[in-house]
Amino acid sequence: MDKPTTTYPQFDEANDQLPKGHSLASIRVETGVSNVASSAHPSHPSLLDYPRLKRRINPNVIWLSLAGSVMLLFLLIPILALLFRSVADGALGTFLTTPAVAEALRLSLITTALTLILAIVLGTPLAYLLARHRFPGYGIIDTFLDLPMVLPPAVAGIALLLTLGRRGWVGQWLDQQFGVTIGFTTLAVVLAQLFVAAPFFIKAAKAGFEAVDQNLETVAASLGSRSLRTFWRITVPLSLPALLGGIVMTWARALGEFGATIMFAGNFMGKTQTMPLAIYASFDGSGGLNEAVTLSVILVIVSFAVLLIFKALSRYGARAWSMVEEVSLDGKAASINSSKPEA
Amino acid sequence: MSMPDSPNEPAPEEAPILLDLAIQKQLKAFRLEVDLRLRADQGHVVVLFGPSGSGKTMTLHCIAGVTDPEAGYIAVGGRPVFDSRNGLNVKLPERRVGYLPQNYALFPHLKVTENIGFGLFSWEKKRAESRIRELITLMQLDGLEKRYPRELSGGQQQRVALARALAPEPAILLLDEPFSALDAAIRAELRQNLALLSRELALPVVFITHDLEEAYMLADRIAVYDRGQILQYDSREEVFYRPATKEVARLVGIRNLWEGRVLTLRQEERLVQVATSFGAMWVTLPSTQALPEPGSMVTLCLRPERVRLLPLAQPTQAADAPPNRYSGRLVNEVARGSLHTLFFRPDIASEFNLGEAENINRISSIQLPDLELEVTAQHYTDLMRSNPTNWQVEIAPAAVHLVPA
Repeated sequence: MDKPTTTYPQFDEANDQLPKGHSLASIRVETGVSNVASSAHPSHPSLLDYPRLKRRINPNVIWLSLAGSVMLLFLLIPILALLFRSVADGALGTFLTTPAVAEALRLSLITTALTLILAIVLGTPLAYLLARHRFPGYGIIDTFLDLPMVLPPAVAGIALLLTLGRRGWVGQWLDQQFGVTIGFTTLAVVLAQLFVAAPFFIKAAKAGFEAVDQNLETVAASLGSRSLRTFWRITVPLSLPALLGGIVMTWARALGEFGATIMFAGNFMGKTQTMPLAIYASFDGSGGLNEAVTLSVILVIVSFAVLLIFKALSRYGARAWSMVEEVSLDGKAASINSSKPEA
Repeated sequence: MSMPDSPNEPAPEEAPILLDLAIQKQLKAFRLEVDLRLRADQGHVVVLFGPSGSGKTMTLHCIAGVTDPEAGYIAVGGRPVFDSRNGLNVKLPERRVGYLPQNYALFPHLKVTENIGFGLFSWEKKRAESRIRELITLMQLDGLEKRYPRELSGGQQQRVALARALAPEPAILLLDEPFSALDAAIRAELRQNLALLSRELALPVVFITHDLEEAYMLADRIAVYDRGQILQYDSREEVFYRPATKEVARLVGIRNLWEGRVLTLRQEERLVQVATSFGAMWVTLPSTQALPEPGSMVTLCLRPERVRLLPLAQPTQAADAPPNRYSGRLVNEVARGSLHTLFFRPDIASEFNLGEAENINRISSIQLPDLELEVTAQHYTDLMRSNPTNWQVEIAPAAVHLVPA
């Protein structure tokens, strides 16, 4: 070995350790193998001789549970008290059929359903627009949508009165042109609920649409699918959990709506007296505490049931949706096929 | 701007134009200007090759209709789909393009068959079903029909995405770096499959990659992109072995680039003698290339695999006639599995006495550039058997390519 071996140490190494003609790469491979072998080193006892690690509860969990239970009990006990009281006095049975209670329940279910439909129909295009496009004033609009969620409902009531009340900007015009009055009607209840609750759906739907990879929509379009079909077959199923979450929040907010309703729609039994208003009315006057308790318990039970259903739906939502789609498509295909005589 | 087609290629007017593209688009400081035409007799796979951010994906999006160019003309399979002169802009659903984005974008809530059949909604049910069946067989997806995309391997996902794109019988297939998300072994296999498939399909394919090997393997023609421009658009052989400029040479992985000065010409043999920093070198020019003026500066391009490495048997001859031989030493090596990259430093021989060449030599010989060469592992083993200390390289005059300095 003369000059080059000193100049190129890697050749030297190769000559020392390996038969001629082997490269550095093969050296590396061999050391790699010997490293693997050393993991089963004989100086360690067999794996069977090691005792199992004793599982202990993480001390943090204990502290967290203690602090958490205080909060949980505070939230839970009043509800339980309500349930207990309603059963103990037999109030539930007596007042369930009272016209005030029945009317309030009926009205609440109808108005919240209408609110929900309006929020979905009118809110979805806006949510999709905000999710997919950026334009001047985007930030302002986005922040503006948060406003109804932050404002006290009483402010919403005043604002609605100023706009749609008999002497409001739009209300006055409606009154003069068509003789239509919105204030203090069932429609007013729906509008009050929509005003405070719709942003919940819009926000949730926007987040849901944003989370759907736009590439999916692009590919769907490249496969010949038009926007509306792409929306129904791709965007909606994939954002379904978010949409359902938004629907629950919106519905819950609408069901509990009190401030805006009482200011804009008033408190007329069978017309604008929804559950929360009825609770306040009976507590304040005619029905007494028992009726208020009954109404409250009904509200608790209905809300809890709806929340559970939606939670289950959103968990299996996307899959359930695609199954529904499949069934309906198969049905359609079948009906088309059966109507045509087969060749 | 694209390079004109080389004059040795016939340009029959009757060959249908599979893809015709002349577009421009400005996006903030980035400007895309692309002019590209694929004739049926030139093959049907175009690879857009270049560094990331050079405008490849934007071009693909313009063809697909995902984004609109500012001005220009696009025709796919002879059918104009965009023409800013008359406001024509066929929307994505009507363009009939098979578009495959980088992440495949499989519909996660749909099974394999539903993904493949997504574009067949307007087909009659029986026909759609048999089309899906056909593609499942073609893409070797048998047994996976009921799976959801997340239950598939990367390679299977890609095959489903390809099947889905092909299902509605598109006029063109657009693939955006389809192999970038896969590991090496699957990548090689799928690449081969796609190469075979694209030969089988009578369908123009536009394919984006920044991988050299992939580009060469799959392309009929390569468009070399850099900063929103096509530097060269030509057959893959031309681009790889006869790059038009130094920039293209760099982008297509020609590792050996030297400055040189033209010494003498042998017109009848189309031989050019060029003085380089490590000696005179003979270069054969193809008949398509004009001979340079003696005394002009040129850049020599040499692919590392086109150099022949030999143990030094006898002292090097003066390089006054082909082939070019240089003696020297190996100064470094990198083992890359099946290939070895070696770095060769030529000796500056005392017999090197070509007056003008020496002048160049003096200027730039402070740090001699090493010659990078590539040999197969087997060849390397054979060479090392005798453990030689001195080497020589032989460079065929036809292996060297000249571009303007």
